[in-house]
Amino acid sequence: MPFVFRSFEENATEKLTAIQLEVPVRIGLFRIFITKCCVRMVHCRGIHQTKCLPKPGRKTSMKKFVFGIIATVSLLIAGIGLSADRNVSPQLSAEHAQCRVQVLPNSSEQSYCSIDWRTSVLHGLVDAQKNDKPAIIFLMNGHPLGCT
Amino acid sequence: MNSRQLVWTDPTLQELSTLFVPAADELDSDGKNLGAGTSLESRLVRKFSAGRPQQGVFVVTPNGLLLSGSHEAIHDPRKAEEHMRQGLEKWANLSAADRLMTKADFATAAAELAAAEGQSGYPYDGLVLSSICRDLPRSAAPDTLPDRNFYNVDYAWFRKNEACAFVPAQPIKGDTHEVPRDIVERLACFYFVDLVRGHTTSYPKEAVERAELSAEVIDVKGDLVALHFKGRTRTSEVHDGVHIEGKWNAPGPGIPELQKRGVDAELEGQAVYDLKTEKFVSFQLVALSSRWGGHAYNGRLQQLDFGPAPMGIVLELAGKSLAEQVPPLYFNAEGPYRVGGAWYGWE
Repeated sequence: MPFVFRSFEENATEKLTAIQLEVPVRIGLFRIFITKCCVRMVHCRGIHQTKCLPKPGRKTSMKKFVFGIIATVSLLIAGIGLSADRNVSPQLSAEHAQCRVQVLPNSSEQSYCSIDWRTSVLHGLVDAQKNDKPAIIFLMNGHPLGCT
Repeated sequence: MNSRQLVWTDPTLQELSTLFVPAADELDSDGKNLGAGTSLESRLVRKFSAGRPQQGVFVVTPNGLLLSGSHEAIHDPRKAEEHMRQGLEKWANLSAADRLMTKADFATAAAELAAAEGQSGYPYDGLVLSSICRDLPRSAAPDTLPDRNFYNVDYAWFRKNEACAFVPAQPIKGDTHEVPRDIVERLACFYFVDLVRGHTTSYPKEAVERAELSAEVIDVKGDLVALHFKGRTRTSEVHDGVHIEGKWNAPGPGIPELQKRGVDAELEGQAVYDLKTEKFVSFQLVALSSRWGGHAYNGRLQQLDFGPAPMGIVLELAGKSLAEQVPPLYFNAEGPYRVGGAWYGWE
């Protein structure tokens, strides 16, 4: 499988379940749940308005108010969850954060990872036989995918 | 190092590679002895390299027949492309008997592969970090030398009990925990080393002047413990008159009479540890360092670039892909993390 060197932030985005295990995942799921509820409420309200039109003269302002309150409170709770996500880990100092950015390979440099490398000659030749394909062997002093 | 960076980042090669099974391997692996070993793998390598294994890019059939390849291709993407295209042409004209292993050989190969995978030592339940090093800018002005931008990659392996040593046994918010010295020494001797442009020897224990790393518990939420690392390592050696290839230079023009080498690293990092699974879910350790010394093998002699000069090293959680399970550089003939008779807690 191709691989990439991940940043802390990329990890958080790409692999939320792996990086920020249970608490944030629960918060994330809660956010999704709340969003779905809001959407459903609006949807139901739409159906209600079209299929069950209020009788002439009936007041609907209280219903609107309750829906509005529920939606606002839900979004606020979801927002608190978001900030909790970010508070799980500490931050690097500016100097070390800059060093990290300078050191880690950029997307172009790490594009060699998009090749589906096997990590030994033998593995390459066995898979070449299985797939009836030629093998391309890259040999170096030190492992070419590690320290070389 | 620059082959990975300069050749295999080429989009044409990446596209062409889908027509092959790509494999990368270490020519001088102590365990495999590709040059003289008796395994099927060694014999196949000697077959496609005419008995003299060397660094290069080779297009071969599963039974080890060389279709195209050269040493030069490791520096030249167009040369590698030429070999790949030539190889495909020849492949198309080969019969199955000419290109494939016999059933018996294939069974042997599959058995050897399974055995090798079983002996890898990869710490599935421990901590695996990628370690990336690169020269840092030496002034505010942009450095236009292309080889100043090289970087190198290694992997750091810690067994489960060693990984736990980064975290206090009873984490309480605000507490500070000293990471055991032998773990920090392992980092100083094997990872805070000038490997930016090539190999050099690791540092012996005697060269370690400082090895300190503290982990402050920033927060505890449920099973998750957030840590902030801070520390310092310093290694320093002076040529004692005994020449060691790959460590010291032979006397020559531009080479200081008294050769020295070392790395002074200021460390900072952050991590989140899951007490329930006993695994790190994130880990970063950044070493802002000054390095000095060098020789031909790690590319410093050619430019008489003996420093002191800034170098950055970043250790982060590695992924689970096969390519990220490559063993650490210093898993050598002496054993894992073993140098000059001294060992660093792996065994």
